[in-house]
Amino acid sequence: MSKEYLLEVKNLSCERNYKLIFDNVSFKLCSGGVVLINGNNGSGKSSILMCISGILEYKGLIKINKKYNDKIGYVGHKNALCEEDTIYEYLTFWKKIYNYKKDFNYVINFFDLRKYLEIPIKFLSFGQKKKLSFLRLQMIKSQIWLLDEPISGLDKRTRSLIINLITKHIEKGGGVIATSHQIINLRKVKNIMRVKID
Amino acid sequence: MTRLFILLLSREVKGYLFNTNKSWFALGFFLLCILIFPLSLGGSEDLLKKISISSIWICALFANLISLESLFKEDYKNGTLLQYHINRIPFFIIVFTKFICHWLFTGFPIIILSPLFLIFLSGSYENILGLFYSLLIGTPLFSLIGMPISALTLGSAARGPILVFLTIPFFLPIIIFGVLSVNSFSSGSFSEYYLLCAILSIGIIFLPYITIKILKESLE
Repeated sequence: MSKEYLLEVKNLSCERNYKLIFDNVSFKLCSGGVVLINGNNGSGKSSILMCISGILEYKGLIKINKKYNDKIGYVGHKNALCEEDTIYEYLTFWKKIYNYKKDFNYVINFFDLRKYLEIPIKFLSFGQKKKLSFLRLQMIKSQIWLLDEPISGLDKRTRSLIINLITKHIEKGGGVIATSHQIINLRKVKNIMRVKID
Repeated sequence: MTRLFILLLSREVKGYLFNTNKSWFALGFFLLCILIFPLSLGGSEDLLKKISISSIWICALFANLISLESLFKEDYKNGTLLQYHINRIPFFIIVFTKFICHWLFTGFPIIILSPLFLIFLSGSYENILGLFYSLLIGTPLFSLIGMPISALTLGSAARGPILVFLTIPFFLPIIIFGVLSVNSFSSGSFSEYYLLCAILSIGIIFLPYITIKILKESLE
């Protein structure tokens, strides 16, 4: 039996500054599935995610299944990390924004960030900032995750942590649309669809 | 909605209290600017008395102007605005919290300090109340008018100079009617106050709306 779709994209095209970025992109994201968007730099991978998240105007159809929660979790290049805030302040603020009732201790330990809780974000490394963005993502009760280059620039350990997190989300019935020009090794995930953007 | 408003407002207030660039810099600039007038005019007390109201207004204008630069800058740069948009947080809450805090930390201290500086600049005691009322109406207008222009220049490389060139022409009517209102207050005429109030009432409805539109466009 085929799984129900979370999101459907049909004949999507996008123009920026009167220039066609991509044209005729179609795919379906199913519950427990991953859509991997590959392409060279500037091919419009991030723009597809921006269209889905409602930032960019587009032509075509983007349909979110109303049976599911229509919230979208987005991790991109800019992740709302206020440099002056400490990790604790950042997490507390977004916890309140998302109305997340659970304790975030488990995810903090998962990412090994406990000892840095009182440190301002400006002192964190690129990888630690990425982990923090995924921590925020955990608080959004969303089925659909949009991940823009989720593992680029990360070491092996952080990469496997993030891949584990993605796998867990998929196992729970969520869906992920990720862009990357690297290979994302999602061995445990069976339902992977690859979309190539030229 | 109220929960979100309180949450965003408390974050903004915290940002203004602990980020020196945001609030104390504008107030410090105002104090230094005021100090220049008596120093540059030497001992000419009569001249100082004549220009006391205008100089307070000019200093208030520039203090507001320099603080406008940081209004949306950080939230735009670090992607907070983008996340607000994706998570469907109403932009009118964001814009109104920004406006309230900007006025509270740049306009309001100037209003409170203005009687003191009027006396410091040898101004007339009769004008204290008039100046207080005119700044009370005028400084929120500075924040309101500055908001869409600050949002408009977000992506620009030469943001500072562009912001100054675009904002000052819109501030001119406020400063003209503001100074005139103080001068006519003692004679019992309030027409300029009414005009400023009318601009404020229109501005508080339309300018946040324009700011929201520009902010959403700037995210693209």
